[in-house]
Amino acid sequence: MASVRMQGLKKRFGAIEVIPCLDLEILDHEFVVFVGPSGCGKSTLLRIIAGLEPITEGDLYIGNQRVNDLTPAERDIAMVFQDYALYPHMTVYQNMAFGLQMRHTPAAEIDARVQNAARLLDIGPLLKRRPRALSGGQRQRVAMGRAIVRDPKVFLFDEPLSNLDAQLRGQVRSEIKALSQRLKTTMVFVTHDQVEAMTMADRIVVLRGGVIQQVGAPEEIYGRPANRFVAGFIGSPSMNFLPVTLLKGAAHLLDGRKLNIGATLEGQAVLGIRPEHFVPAPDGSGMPVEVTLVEPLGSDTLVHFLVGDIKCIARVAPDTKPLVGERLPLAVASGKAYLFDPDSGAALPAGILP
Amino acid sequence: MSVIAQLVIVAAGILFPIIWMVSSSFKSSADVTAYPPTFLFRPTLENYTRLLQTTPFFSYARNSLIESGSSTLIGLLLGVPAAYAASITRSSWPALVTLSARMAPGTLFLIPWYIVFRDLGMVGTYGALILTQAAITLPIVIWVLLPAFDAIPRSILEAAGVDGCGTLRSLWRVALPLVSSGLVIATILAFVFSWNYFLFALVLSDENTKPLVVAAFNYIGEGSTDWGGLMAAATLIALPPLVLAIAVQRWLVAGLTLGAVKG
Amino acid sequence: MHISASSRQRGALAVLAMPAVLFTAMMVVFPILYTIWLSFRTAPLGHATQFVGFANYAQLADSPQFWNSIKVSLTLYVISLAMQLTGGTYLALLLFQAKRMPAILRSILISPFMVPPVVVGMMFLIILDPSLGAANWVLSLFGIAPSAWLASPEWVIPTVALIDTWQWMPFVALIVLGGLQSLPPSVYEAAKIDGAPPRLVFWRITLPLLLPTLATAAILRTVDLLRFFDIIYVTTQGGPLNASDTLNIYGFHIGFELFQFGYASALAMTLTAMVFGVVLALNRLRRAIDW
Repeated sequence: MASVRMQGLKKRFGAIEVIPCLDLEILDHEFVVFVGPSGCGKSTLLRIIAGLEPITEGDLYIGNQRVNDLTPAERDIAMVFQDYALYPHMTVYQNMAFGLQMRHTPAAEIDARVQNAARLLDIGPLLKRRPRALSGGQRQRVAMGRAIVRDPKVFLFDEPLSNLDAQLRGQVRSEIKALSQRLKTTMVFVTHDQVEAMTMADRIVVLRGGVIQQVGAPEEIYGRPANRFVAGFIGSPSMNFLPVTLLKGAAHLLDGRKLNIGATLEGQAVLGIRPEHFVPAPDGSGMPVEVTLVEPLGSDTLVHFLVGDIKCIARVAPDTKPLVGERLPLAVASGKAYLFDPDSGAALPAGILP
Repeated sequence: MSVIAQLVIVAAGILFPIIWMVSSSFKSSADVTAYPPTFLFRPTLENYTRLLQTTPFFSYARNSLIESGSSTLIGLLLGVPAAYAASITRSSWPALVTLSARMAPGTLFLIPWYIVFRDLGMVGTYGALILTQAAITLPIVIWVLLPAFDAIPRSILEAAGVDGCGTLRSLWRVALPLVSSGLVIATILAFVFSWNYFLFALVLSDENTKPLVVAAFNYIGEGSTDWGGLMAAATLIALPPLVLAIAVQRWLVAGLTLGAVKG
Repeated sequence: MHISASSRQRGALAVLAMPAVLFTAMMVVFPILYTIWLSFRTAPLGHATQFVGFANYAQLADSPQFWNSIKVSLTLYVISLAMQLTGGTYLALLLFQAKRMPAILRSILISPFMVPPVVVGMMFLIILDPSLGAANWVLSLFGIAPSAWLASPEWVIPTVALIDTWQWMPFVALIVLGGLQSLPPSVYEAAKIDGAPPRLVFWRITLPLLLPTLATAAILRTVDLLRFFDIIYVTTQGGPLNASDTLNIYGFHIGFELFQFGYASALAMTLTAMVFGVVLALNRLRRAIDW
């Protein structure tokens, strides 16, 4: 039970700078998710916390203790690996007990803890099996069990769901979330899957090139993205980005059409609109677009169209059934237009203009 | 002690007998019998010239070449198509046969062969030696190539079939190029093992068909104390396998063990 | 178009396999059957064979020399295998820690097992020679008295085992190295997090995970070691006083020096059964520990 604090953290592999300089504090009991595209440094950061990668520069604290020079074992953390990293030659029980044995926990206590974790994870009947005789989902549970029995200060998860099929992933996701609420331990979870990030995190850390793009609660990341990268990365399908000129509250597109977004700014900007924030405008107030492709998903329908040569997607209600080639008038839901600096990509707060 | 230092010591231990053999072959008869052994000496070629002048070394070498070369060729000609067919049909008999040929002691084969070849008047002929050595090379070829063929994705061969390749053409145009490194290893291992194999030729060869390994053994048996000449012969006999193996060393170990891991 | 093994394709494949099948029938299957048949007969040179039932096997069971050969073969097998597996594992761990293997080192490692066994015998004859050998001289530097290692009944088996270990330990090491390289790195990270000290990691994780590889290496060596012939035939011919008279050496002596083919066949069958037995047992073991 501890916070994790990184101060001026730098990581280089040889000449390659993976993490230029990073400051972050993860609070006690908090469930934090590192998310970002592959190669963004999220796994490296997790492995640095675990002590599996040395720190090039800067400080790492777990609780109030500086842990830079502590071995992984001394840091009192537990980790669930992407490939689970179970010991193939040990039974489920032995896998879970091994870390406690290494810490010279009395056998009776080991047994109690393992049985307790097995009950918690519903893997009691599997305790005598070897990993080879388990399904992917069962292995994943054993990997979590191995972490739970340790009762560590911090749980680290390295993309633990990526080897599960889609259905199981959803189930385990909610189980991990329930578990975190029950165990009340600090959890750091790495994923490239934004759904996992959104559904599980107390706070999300969006990373890109080893640099934190934004830290915030899921709704904050979604609702107030700090920059164009975060806006594009979170949300599916991705936000549409259109270069515009702002004039008198309206956004003028490159092809001369305009959208009323009620902006208080003027000048060049990039307009970002999430697909789900397009609304059909039957009264003709919107911008008519020519439909190029229709993808009915059942719950809703994705409508593809072009603005100039930029491909855009709108998510509309399933009863809207436009035909390809049809002209569909679309408006932007009020207050849902995002503006970004065309050069830096930073989100533009209302009223300020470069 | 550091890892590197330990490795250097082990490597030196492995290398020492070979170096000792080679260096002895360049020692004069006084140097080679000196005790304590001489490490610094004036190298001489006299052992080699004497070996080549007083023994029919070249004709033994020719015998070795004929017997190992031909048996390797037979092993490839029979083994490649068989390994391919076995891989496609997933039949297990070649692996079984290979295994039993590897497990049974040489005498088990040698007794019936000897009786049959004697009755046919073939003892001492190249034919008998090549056929028996092919019983060494064929299992090696299958041993190396079966897993190599197994590793080819079936969809590639099916694609070749869709593109209109018959069975033979799929083997020749698609499968063989994909196992080319395995083929090289199979050829070299078959040749080396045949070259090195002692027992069959010991019984089935005569003065005119004797391969190098048997000739060298007889040389010891003559009670010769010509250590220099003996080491010169040993060096020359060991040279071809060593050169071939080192040329393909990167794939050699994988080739030797693949079949084992599978079996 | 239906492309999965049509009957025509099956026919073509059968034709491809046919030459090898015929050759195998002629050169492998027939000799095995013939040897089994012979093992129940006497086959004196120049005379017709005669059925004798299990007489050859009975003769084996009564022969002290046969039991001596069993003892010699098994002793040599156990000593050599133990040396090669432990030495090979040690060497493999060194190679693994060194991370990369220079080509020259790999060349050195593969050289011993590519040298013809006859040549191996010859090189050790001169090294171990009692009067001029380098071995005695090196040992004398450590204060060890010189000995005729290959001529001593007590020392001949360990000496031959050492020669074979020189030849095959690097091979075992390369196999074990392959096993080491295929072990999942994340398991070692998990062990780090679990707090296992390096020595324990070796005994509790690396070694158990290597067992299947070691079993494979053991099977490969078993097949050769139980049939031990070449190096002994070159160096000691089974001597001194039959102290290195392995089953294969003894069988060769009966078959091709005494020309008692029936008796030799029975011996060959016994040896084959022994090899099969040990290999099957090892293979079962390997399956049991194939995590």
